[in-house]
Amino acid sequence: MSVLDDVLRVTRSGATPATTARTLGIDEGLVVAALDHWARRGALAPTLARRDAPCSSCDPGTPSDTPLPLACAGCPLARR
Amino acid sequence: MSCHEAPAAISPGPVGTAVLDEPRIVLVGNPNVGKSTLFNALTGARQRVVNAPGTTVELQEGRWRVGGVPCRLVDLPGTYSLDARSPDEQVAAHAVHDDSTDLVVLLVDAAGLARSLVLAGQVASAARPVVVALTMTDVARTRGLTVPADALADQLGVPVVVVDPRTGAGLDRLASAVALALTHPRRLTTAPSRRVTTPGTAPDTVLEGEAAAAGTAASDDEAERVFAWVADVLAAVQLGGDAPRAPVRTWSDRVDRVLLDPRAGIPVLLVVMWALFQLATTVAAPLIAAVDTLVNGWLADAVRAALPSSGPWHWLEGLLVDGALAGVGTVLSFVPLLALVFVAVALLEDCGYLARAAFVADRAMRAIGLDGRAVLPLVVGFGCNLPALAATRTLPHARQRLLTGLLIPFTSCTARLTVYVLLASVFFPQHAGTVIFVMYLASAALVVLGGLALRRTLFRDVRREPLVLALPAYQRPAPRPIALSVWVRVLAFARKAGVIIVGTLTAVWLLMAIPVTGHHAIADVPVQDSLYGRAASTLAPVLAPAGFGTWEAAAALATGFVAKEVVVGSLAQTAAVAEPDDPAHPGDLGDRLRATFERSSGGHPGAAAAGFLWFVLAYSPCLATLAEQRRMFGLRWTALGVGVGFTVAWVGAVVVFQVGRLLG
Repeated sequence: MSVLDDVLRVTRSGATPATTARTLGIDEGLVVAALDHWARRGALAPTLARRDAPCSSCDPGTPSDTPLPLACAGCPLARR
Repeated sequence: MSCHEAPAAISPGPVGTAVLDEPRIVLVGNPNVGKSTLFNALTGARQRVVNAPGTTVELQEGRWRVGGVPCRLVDLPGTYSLDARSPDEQVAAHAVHDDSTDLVVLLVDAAGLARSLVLAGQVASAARPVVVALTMTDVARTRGLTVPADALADQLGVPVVVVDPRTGAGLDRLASAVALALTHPRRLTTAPSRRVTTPGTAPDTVLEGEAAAAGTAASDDEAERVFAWVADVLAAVQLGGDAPRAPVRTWSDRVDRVLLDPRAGIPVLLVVMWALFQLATTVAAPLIAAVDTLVNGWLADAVRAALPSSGPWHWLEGLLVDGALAGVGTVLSFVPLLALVFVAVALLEDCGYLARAAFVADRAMRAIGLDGRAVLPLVVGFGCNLPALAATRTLPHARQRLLTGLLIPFTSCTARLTVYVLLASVFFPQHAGTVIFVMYLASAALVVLGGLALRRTLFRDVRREPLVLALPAYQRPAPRPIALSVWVRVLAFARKAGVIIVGTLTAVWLLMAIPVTGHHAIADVPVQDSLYGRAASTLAPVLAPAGFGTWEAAAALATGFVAKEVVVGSLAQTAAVAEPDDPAHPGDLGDRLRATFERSSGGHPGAAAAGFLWFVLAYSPCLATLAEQRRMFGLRWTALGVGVGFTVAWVGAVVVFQVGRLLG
């Protein structure tokens, strides 16, 4: 299996990027990049701990061009 | 100084020859790697802001003298990938592939090498001459990382220059490398060297007419080759720091082993929810009473004292005090409770637990035949149904979106929580937290049962897809962002509730002021004889089998169509305006509610209140949610949803009341 498929497989079983990197023995930055690839492909939902919307725990300092997570898509309270 | 104009077209000569026109050089890199700092250092004051063609994305463009040759330098938006997801990323992707770009200066982050190399692998597909500027080497050193520039150059096949844009170190060497590359270009040597297009590019791409170039990225096979190449390069050049090491189970892994197992994770989730409501109701009770006393007591008395109680304007006191203030004040008294709930949810989310809850809920849902990807919109629905509907847009198939959209109204939103708290506190004061917890369990049960029923009948064709969620690391919650988000959320709720409730209750008060029976003057009529009371009275018999067949309950539920917060306000307003059973002892809102439900239920007010709670949970979402459903799914599906909701609400309320009555 490829790096991308391995990352998706381990993530699907429930893992943080750090755990996935340790499990596969690869660079954590590579795992994060792979997760970003799968999120762009629509196979991965963004984490719920994103912080750019005032309707839940958020960090107002998050850059405004950071994409909104699934849970905030279309919410009128989310910052654009 | 800035001017907004499209960049002038240039006509470079064939790459590899001396370029007489100004060469166009683009700065490409991940966000926060120092592109803008480098751009400013290279161009100084010789820069301006332009719009990328056909977009509202602004770019910095400046002049950079390279080997005595003036060049146009463009600072592109930061991006992690040329598989673009936003207008900024599309502009960057287009610029890399555009024929007017003569050379790419690719900023590679030494402290985040993997992500930079993934971008490099995609830039290679554009087949442009490239020079790499290696930045953040100081940050990398603090993390114990070393990236030898010459080793990286060997792997990439292009010049690599270490630069520090803040100090200016390496800028001269960068200029020399670029000058050489303009006449003797070199391209990134990776597996992908051909131009590829992105499958499934959005049809409304920002840069029309150039879809093959705009937002291009590797196909999945191409992406696999890029990632395999990146892994090889990392192994060859990166020393220290993130080098792969043998798997070691951390405490986080051990905790996840428990929380992600449905056998333990689901009970833990239920306990957490129960504790949340128990804490909220216990701590919030004195706060609710204090705010209620302040608004409906002190403030109402002050307004009464300031207004005429007789004469042609006597009705103004009724409108303001018994209308708007009664309703708004009662809802505002719940603000402390909502603030506590928001804080608790924010803490759960910030520490990383909520993602685990969604993950384990997904597993449970898939185990009983429901689609895991629907979990997140449904979770959002427990805050507000309206953004939950919007969140279904991210589900890939229309039938999945429809199925999830029909279930969302059964999720118990925050507005319904105000009704739960009021009735639970009045009728079940010793177990208020538990009652509210049961309501949320009932909501989850409705969603699950509704989903099962729909999947076995109208939606047998819908495929199940798992929810894949990258779990965030556990972390200590940050107090300031949480406090800020809770403040914003509470403010938004108070504003929304205030505007809607004042408007609705004003309308209700006006309906209460219009007499339809008896010989009463306008604004001087018993509620039961008013237009409001008579209309509600026609609905009341329908609710009699459920134990709350009174015009007060019917009227409150009718106003709940506008917004569920109005149910509480309507009950409060009715209690304030209507004549009490015993004028000598009018009692507060709780007393009035108990008397009303005692009367309607034939001596079983608790059972009737439980039925009322079920009805509020199931009967209909608010008008805004219905309008959005209609817009997304059409009138027929929305009407079906409303019909099913009313049926489930009425049947369930009758069953709850009758069983409760039998149990005593």
